[in-house]
Amino acid sequence: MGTGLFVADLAEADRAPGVYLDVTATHAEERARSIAASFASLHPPGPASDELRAQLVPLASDAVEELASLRIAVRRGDTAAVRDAERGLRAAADGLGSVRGSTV
Amino acid sequence: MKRLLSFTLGFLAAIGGFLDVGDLVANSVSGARFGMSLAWAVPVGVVGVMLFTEMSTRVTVVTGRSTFDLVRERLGARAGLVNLLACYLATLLTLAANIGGIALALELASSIHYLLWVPVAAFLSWFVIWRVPFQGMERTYGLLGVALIVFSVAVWRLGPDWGALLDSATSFAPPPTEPWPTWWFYAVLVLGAAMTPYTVLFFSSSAVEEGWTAEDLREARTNIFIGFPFGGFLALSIMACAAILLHPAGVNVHELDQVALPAAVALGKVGLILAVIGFFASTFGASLEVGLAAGYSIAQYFGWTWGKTTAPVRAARFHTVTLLGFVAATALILTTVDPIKVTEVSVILSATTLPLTYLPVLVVANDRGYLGSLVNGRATNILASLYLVFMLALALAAIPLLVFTKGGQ
Repeated sequence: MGTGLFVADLAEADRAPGVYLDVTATHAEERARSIAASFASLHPPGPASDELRAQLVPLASDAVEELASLRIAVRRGDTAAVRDAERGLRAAADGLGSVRGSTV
Repeated sequence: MKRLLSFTLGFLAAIGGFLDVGDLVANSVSGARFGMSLAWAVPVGVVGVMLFTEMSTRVTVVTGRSTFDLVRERLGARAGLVNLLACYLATLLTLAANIGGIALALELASSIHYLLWVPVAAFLSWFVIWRVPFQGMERTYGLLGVALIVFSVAVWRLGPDWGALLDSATSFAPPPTEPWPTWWFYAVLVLGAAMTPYTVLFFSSSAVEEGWTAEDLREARTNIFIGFPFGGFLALSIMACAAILLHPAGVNVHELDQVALPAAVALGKVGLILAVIGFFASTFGASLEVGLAAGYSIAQYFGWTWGKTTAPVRAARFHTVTLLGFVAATALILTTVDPIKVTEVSVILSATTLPLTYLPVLVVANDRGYLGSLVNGRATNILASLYLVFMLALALAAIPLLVFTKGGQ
């Protein structure tokens, strides 16, 4: 998701060509989708992990959706939509960060 | 004046041609994950490759014979064959990684999927080997590779806390959240990327092809002793960029586009364009060198007529083997295997073959019967022996670390 945030910053400031932003956003989305799918397919080792799973799966799904929104916005050159996607990404990153903080 | 220009061009080409996809990936991945704590591996690797490249070039200039020719003579046919197979496999994987790197660089410039660029990249590389003269080939990609200096400028523009960067570079330990085996795995990756066996093979073979004399040896030494450290400086800059920007953001590098992120953040479109040109030039140049090195190794072992400058009709087996190397490497990347993973595995495999390539060079460089007054001095031998012990340890540790850390996860 960190890569997605950098892409959003670069797109908003018009500091990188569209083709690069498109490729980078697409790769970030593909990676996040793969990680989310891998995690969702894992069987929780015990009932204690169910709660963690219930928190993480929707957050990971949100992150993937926001990265998809970012990719679409970057391809369209729609700066307002990039800003929206960035806000969504930050919210998803904060959510994942708080889950990580509560499990450490 | 003409000689000075030629020297300057050769020197710049040595800097730009030093890096390949392995260096780009290994240094960026390490910087993003471990900060500058693996910075020590770059100078250690650069000194090693300088030491043995100079040695093998000196051997070639004096004897007029190339590395694998001497390896077979020194190790015997059977041991030489084991050496050949190990080095050829590592070289072929490195070729596949660099063809993948060219395709990824072209994807960044076009947004066309890299798999569609793979056959184009392989054909272009082979065609340049086939048609373009040696010096033009080396200098074009070498000079374009200097564009990677954009990462050094980016380090300065990112305005890091230099004290913290230095602390990280001198820590010689992974960050608290990272395990030691993974840190060592990436140390092998950075070292292996700097000390690839194909560099030695290519340098010595091109010395034979271009008929280098003792006078050329002086120029070659300058390129090696000054050009290679500058190349190492570029590698450190890539690591520093990732350590400054990506490490604090928790970004792990999995793609070539992420390697370019610091250049874009620091310098905008111009920085990014230069980074992509540098990626293309360094991977393209490396694919030419590795492709030739693969053909050289086979032809030299079997004693065939070889040479890029030798007409295909006179060196048909060499040219066929070189072409087949490109076909095999292209087929591997077209299986959709992740080119970055191929790069990491190729570098680790290269690290395991280092003693096999370097030991015979050291043995021959100590043979007064061959080298006469240019035989190794005591200081060179002590340093080279220390490196060989170090490389043996690396070679023994590389595969277990690869398996134990599940490829550095």
